[in-house]
Amino acid sequence: MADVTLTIDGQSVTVPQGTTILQAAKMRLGMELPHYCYHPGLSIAGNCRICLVEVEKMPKLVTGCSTQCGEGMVVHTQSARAKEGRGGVLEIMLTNHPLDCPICDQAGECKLQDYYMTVGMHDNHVVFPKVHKKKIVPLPPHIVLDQERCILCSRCVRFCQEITKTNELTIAMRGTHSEIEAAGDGTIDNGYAGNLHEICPVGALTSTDFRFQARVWWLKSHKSVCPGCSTGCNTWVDDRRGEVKRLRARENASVNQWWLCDEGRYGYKSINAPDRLKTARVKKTDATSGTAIGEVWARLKTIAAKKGGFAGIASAQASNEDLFVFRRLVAHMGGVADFRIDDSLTKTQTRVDEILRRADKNPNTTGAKLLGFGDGPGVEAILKSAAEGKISALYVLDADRFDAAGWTDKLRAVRTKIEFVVMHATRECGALDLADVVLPAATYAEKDGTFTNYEGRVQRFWRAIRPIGDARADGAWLATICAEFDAADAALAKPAAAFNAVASETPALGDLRWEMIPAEGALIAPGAAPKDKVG
Amino acid sequence: MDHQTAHKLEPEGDAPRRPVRELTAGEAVYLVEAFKGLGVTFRHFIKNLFNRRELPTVSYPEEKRDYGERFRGRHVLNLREDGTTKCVACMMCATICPARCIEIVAEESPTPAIEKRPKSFVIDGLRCVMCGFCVDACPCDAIYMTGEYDFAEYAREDFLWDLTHLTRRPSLADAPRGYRPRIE
Repeated sequence: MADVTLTIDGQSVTVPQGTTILQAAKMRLGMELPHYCYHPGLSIAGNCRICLVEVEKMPKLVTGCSTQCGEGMVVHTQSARAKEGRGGVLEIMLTNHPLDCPICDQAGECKLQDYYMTVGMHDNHVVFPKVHKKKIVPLPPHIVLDQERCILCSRCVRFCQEITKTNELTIAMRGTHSEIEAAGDGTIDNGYAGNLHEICPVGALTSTDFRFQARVWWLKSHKSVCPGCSTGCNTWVDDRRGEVKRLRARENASVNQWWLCDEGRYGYKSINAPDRLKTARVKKTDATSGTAIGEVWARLKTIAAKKGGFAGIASAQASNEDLFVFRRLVAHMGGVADFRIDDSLTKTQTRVDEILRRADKNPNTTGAKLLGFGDGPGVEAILKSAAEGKISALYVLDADRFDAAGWTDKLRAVRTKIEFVVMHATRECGALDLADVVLPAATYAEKDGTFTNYEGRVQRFWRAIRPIGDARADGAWLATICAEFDAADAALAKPAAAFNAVASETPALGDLRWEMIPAEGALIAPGAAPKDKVG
Repeated sequence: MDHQTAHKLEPEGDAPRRPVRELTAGEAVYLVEAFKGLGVTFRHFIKNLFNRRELPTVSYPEEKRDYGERFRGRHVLNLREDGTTKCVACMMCATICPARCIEIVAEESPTPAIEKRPKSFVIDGLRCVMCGFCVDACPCDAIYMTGEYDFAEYAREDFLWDLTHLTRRPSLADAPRGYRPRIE
């Protein structure tokens, strides 16, 4: 497509034909024009009109979001006329806005507040009373609607039309009485409802989950990756005083664009769960980390000396780094390991819907496979050889999943045949009773690492909060244990060192290194991923 | 004053010193001077005994001193006509508080028109610096500072002023409203 050249605020800009003024200003000049209804992931509506700009030789101000750039156009975004126009639009929007900022959850990240400071700052000219509408309209299960606060930008309506294609919302009534209304029984349970309160530029749609939990200026945001399924959506983890309060979608055009599914968004609760494991346990009694590690050392060394059987069971919830150190331990013990405690491997390429969700509920199935965990005998076979008395030590890296996948009873049946069992767990679960030593594990929000998603994209996640109690990353526990066999392994407690060791040993990762993982993740062996199917 | 400045203010080794006066014979005896001192004490005792109006001290707690209207004493949370607290848990006071002594937990109010209310509101009286910023920051006319200044308690926990204390402590009945920001 041909390029057009125009002038924005005195600067010459060349963009592809069809680009709008708002996009051109952002793409080429990094300049953000005010906008409510415009969202890069949705169709252009042009109905909020706050993005007014002045274009020479055009009789009226035009909306920057919907006006395409033309050859030789001269655009002024900061002229007195443009600013006056935007100020006027804002004043109309505030005509019926209730200004309940002290109550509203959006205060602090509200575009009405932001633009009032940049283009508003006007005295109120309105003398007649505000139009009152319904304040608390629940749209279960995740959303609360406040019709008064709504500025009718229609982002939510378009989201339900274009992204989820479920059409739950519409704008009803006319003129100053226009309001957002839900069709049918008033529920918005389309699996992506959480995005609605995230894209709402004002506080009209708020989250039942986050409602009144914290003021947003108290939250600290950390980049992360959702561990909910093999898509690996990019997220922001927002915490206050070490407690995760909410997750938000982090834009990544190659993975999740601007969206996040509800399952992932509200899945953070396991991090703050009251039954989180805080201390290590030796023979069902709480112990210090040192005692527990000492017990593991002593027993594993005896078993290694006897050349007895060692079996490791990991899960695809573990990061590449943790799995790598686990593989190190298995190698030292001369044993076998597998990660298929659920049917993740068979489901990797199955989508749940056309948007984001996948059937494989683990973030790192591809990573575990790449690290060779899929070549093991399988959990079934490991437990079978345990029944035959061939396993002296069993190491379960993710007892939570092990228990959830229903292996606990099968292990209980053969438990007496196994000399020594170690388990890592983040939360209390039934399987822990069967372990000699239990080590508390950190969740993904409490450690650094990488996941490799379904298409082979290696993505970094960052530590957001301090691990609870004595919990440590799986890799850190394992590196300490491995260091007893080979002192050099102690360095692998650091995820960066572990990842670089993985990369140097795994041809698929090429010359990728920890520091070089790009913001959108690194796609390894592109095209290797089989075709998707919707299941 | 940091360490270095303090060091500079020390006199140099050979700086001139104030000459020490030799004691007179009377001073050297000591007892004479001691009785002279007692004489001063006695003079003030007699003066105060017969001029009680001019005493610079007050007999607290029987007698209390009046402070100006702008005095910033212990906080109070305002109530609506129906007896519920005016606070909507917007956390402005907790945000502005330089001593970080205000802890609020918000919850859904049963009245939809109010929407939000504090589930708990605790001011740590031992941390509070009585700056009055919370009163300035409050957009809902909810927090005030009274003229109350007698804070003595027997236990540290009693200085954690909670919702009940802030809205319904017995002394509030006749406590004067104190500091409130002037809105021009």
